[in-house]
Amino acid sequence: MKEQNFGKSKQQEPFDLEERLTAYYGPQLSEQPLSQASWQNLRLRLGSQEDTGRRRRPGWHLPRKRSRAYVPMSIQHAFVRIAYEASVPSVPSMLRCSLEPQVREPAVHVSWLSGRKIRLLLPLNAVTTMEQAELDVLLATGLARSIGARKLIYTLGRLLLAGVVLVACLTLILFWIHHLLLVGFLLATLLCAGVAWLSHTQAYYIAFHADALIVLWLGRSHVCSGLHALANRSLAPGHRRWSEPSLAERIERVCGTRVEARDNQLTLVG
Amino acid sequence: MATCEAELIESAAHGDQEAFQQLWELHHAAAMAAAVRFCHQRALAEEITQGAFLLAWRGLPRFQTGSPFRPWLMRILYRHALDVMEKQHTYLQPISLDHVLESEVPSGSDSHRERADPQEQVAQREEVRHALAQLGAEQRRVIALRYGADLTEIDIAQVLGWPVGTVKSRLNRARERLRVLLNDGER
Repeated sequence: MKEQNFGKSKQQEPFDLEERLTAYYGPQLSEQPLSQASWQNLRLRLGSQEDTGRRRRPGWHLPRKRSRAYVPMSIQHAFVRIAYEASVPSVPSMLRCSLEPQVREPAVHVSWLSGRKIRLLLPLNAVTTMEQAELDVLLATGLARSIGARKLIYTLGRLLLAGVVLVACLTLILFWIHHLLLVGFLLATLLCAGVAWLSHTQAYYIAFHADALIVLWLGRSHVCSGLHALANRSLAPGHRRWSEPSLAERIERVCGTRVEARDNQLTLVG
Repeated sequence: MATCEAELIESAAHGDQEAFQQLWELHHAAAMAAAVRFCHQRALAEEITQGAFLLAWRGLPRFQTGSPFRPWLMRILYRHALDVMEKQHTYLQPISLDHVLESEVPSGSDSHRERADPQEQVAQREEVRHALAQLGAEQRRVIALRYGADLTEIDIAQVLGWPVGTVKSRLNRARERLRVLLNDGER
């Protein structure tokens, strides 16, 4: 199927879609044997056929939500390795990963309520461009914050905060019933603002305790090189987010150094 | 060999990991070659190959006794590769020069493209990749299976579980769209 009707303006060669697509995928390749380590990795994930059989047994089951989160294998391996080295019980299913084209800098989030889900948010090219130290710091941060968030005191704190929000809602309803909506609204807003501030403070505590933990797990120099690499990737390392200390703050606390201001790197043109 | 393979499949279907390891030894290199050609990234191809074998392991109890193993495995591999590539948005990631050099045919080739400058090859492939990124996911799937796996329309229908007519129409629409996109890109 040769399509000759489209001429190449640059080279005056005939435009052939079949040829372009065949060239894009290339010829069939010779066999590409993998290392023994590859089989060992697979073997670890096999499980037993009985498990598979058990899953297939007929009966009434709740429809299971299929996870849309896909975790690249290199990230899974790094996560398992860090958990193992830190002697922390972890399951790979704790980790979710989103590779998004619009994401500029890698980030890690831990679910607020349970603290059991760690979500990595990465730019598309992160798997190939990220340094090992960067990835280690992100994963260790997620794991350490997850451990922190699950501590009894913080769990109770979150339950208390949720209770205060509930009280704020009830206050609003009560005052509304008694035709004092404005007062009720003010009170509820104050309560909610208090909850937000406490929640923010709690997240800060967890984040700084987590940084102390990852220094124990990975070593200060490795953590510092990971944090600096993350800061170099970031457009605004000094920028604080809600419940999240800035990279500059973390670097100052962990490494005792400051992040170079971006302005210094710009060349002034007269 | 066929009987031997049938025995291996039978044992692996009953949970024998050593039998499955022998199946891995027999077929993984071919599966990896197909995956590299399909996705253009060695690390991702390894991941796809392992994932396909994992799915094959889970599917072995349902494997139809007597049918050949490799075509079944390759169907799993292609389906899995397409899913992974869509999830990882591989069509939005640039092709590396390393891959072009790796996939180059060393000798005996009469195609001028294969002997072309690697930089030029990368540029040409980038144009196609950019055009593929603008297709719908289903159109990309049929194109990948047709040109990246050399499957016939009937085979593609089997892999994707679509009627042959649907495959034909999607393939034609994808080609038409690619013609427009690549032609516009060259002007």
